[in-house]
Amino acid sequence: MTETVVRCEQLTRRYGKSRGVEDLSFEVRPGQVFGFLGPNGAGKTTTIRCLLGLLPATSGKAFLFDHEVKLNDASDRGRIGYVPGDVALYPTETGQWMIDYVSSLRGTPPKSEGELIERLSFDPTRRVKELSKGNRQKLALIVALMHDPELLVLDEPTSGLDPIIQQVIFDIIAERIERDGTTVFLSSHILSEVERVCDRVGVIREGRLVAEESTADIIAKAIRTVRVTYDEPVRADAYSAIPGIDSVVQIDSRTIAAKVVSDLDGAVHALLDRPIHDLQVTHASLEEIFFQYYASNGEAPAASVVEEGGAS
Amino acid sequence: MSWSIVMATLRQRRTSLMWYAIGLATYSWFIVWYFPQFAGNQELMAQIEKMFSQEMMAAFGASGMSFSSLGGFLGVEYLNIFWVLIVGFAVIILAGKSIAGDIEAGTMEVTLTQPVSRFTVAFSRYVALVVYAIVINLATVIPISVAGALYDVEVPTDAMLLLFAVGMLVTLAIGGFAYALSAFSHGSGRVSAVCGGLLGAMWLADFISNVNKNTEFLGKLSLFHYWKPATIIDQVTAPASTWWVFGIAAVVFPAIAIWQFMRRDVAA
Repeated sequence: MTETVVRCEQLTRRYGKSRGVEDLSFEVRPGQVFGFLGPNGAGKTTTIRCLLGLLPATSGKAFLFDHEVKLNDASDRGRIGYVPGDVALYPTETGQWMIDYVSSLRGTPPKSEGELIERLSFDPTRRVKELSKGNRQKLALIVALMHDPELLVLDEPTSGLDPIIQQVIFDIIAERIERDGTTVFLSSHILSEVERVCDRVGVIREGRLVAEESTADIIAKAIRTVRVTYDEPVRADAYSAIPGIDSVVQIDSRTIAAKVVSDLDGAVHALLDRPIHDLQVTHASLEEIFFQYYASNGEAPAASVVEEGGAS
Repeated sequence: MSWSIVMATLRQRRTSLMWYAIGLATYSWFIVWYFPQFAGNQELMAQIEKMFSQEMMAAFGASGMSFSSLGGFLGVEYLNIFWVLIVGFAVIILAGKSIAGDIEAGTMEVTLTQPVSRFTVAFSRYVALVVYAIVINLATVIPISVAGALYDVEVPTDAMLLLFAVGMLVTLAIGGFAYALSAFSHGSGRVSAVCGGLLGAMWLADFISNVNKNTEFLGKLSLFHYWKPATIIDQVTAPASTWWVFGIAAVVFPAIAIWQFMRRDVAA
C-alpha cells in the first residue's frame, strides 16, 4: 500500500542564480485533494515539473507513489494524469489524434474517453489550432482523465477560462474525487478553486512553503468583504465597532463595505439592522489572504507576489 | 523504442518530407536527363572547362574532375554541394524541431508526462530522423537509376547502392550533429543557424583548401572533403576516410544527444 502519493523532501530547484523552489517539504496521502496555493511566480509550476520529472532537482528529493522521481524513469507516469495551465498541443493535429497518441504511449485503450467527450461537448475531429483556449483545455482534461489516473496533477487548470467552462471542469474533477477517490494535486492562485475541492492546502511564497494546513483553517483566516446597500442613507462609522469587523468603508450614501475577519455570521446579522436593498459577500482576494496570513506571522508580503501573468 | 513516437515525429514533418523528396527526385531526374546532351558534345565540354577558372571549379567542388563522366557531371551539377545543402537543411530542421523545437513549443511535456522514458523518446526520435534520411536518399538515387535507364545513361546499380549508403552516412552525420545541438539548445532556430553557419564555413574551408596549396590542411576540417560522389559513381568505391569520418559522426553525435536529453531541463 502506498504511504504517500506525492512527497517532497527538502526539494530545491534553482535556475542559475535565480530562485525556483527552496527546501520544499510536504506530502500528499492517497485520496487527499491537495491545493498548492500561491501567486504567479511563487514556484508552483517548478514544483510540479520536478514531480513529473521534467526538471531535475538541484538538491533534495521528490517522490511519487513512494518512488523517487528520476528523469529517465517513467514507470509511475502511467498512474498520473496531468493538466497544465497553458496547454501546448500539436496545432495541426486533431483532438482525436491527440487522444490516440497518448493512448498509444500508455499502451492501453482509454477507459472514459467517450464519456468525457460527451460531458464536455468536445468535438474531437477539429484541429487543435482551430480550438479556443477553453476547448484546448477541455482536450487536455480528456487526455489527462481518460485513463482514470490514480493521481491527477492540475497546474492552474482553469487559468484564463470563462466561468462556465471553469464550472464544468471542476464538476468533472469533483466527480472523479468522489467516485474514484482520485488523489489530486491542484496548483492554483484562485482561492475559490482550491476551496471548492481541496481538503488540504499548501501555501508557497517566493519558492518556500510558508503554510500547510486544512482548507477549512486557511479559509477561516480569510477576510470577507460584506457590501450592504440599505434602503436609507447610513454612516459607515456606525458599524465599525461590530465584533469581527476590521474596517468599514463608505461607498456611497446608502452603501458600505465591511471587512470581516472573524465571526462572519455575527457580523452579518449585526450589519442587517435595518431594511436592505442589496447584500453581497465576497472572499478576500488572494492578495488580502496572503497579507492577512503573513501579517499574522509578523511578515509583510512582497508586492511582486500578487502580480498576474507569467509562469510560476 | 516507441513506434508511436517515430510515427508522430514523421507525421509532424510529413509535408516538408514530401516536398524535399519531390524536389530531390526532380533534381536527380533532370540532371540525368541533361547529362547525355553534355557528354555527347565534346566541343561544349572543352568550352566549359576553358570557361571556368580553377577557383570557380573549386567553388563547386569540382577540382580535378571531368564533366564528361556521369559521376563528374552529377558531382559538379548536383551532389558535391547542392545536394549536401538541401539534404543537410532538411535533417537540420527536423533534428532541431525534434528536441529543442518540441521543448520550445511546450509539446514535449505531452510526451514526457506519459509512461515513456527519456531514452525511449530520444532514441525513437533519432529513428524517425533515420527514416527521414532513408526517404530523401532513396528520392535521390532511385530517380537517377530510373532516368538513366530511360535516357540510355549507364548507371551501375552497385554505384547507386554505394551512393545510397554513403549518402545515408553523410545525412546522418549532419543530422546527428544537429540532433546533439538540439539536445543542448532551447530553440530550434538556434540549431538551424549554428548548423547552417557551420555547413557554410565547411564549404568555405573546402573551397580555400582547393585553391591554395598552403591552405590544403583546411580541407580536412570540412565534411565536403570526405564526400566524393564522383568517385563513388564512376569508380564504385569510397575512401576509407569517408566511411570513418561520417560513420563515427553518425554514431557519436546521436549518442551525445541521447545522453544530454536524459539529463536536461524540459521546460518551455
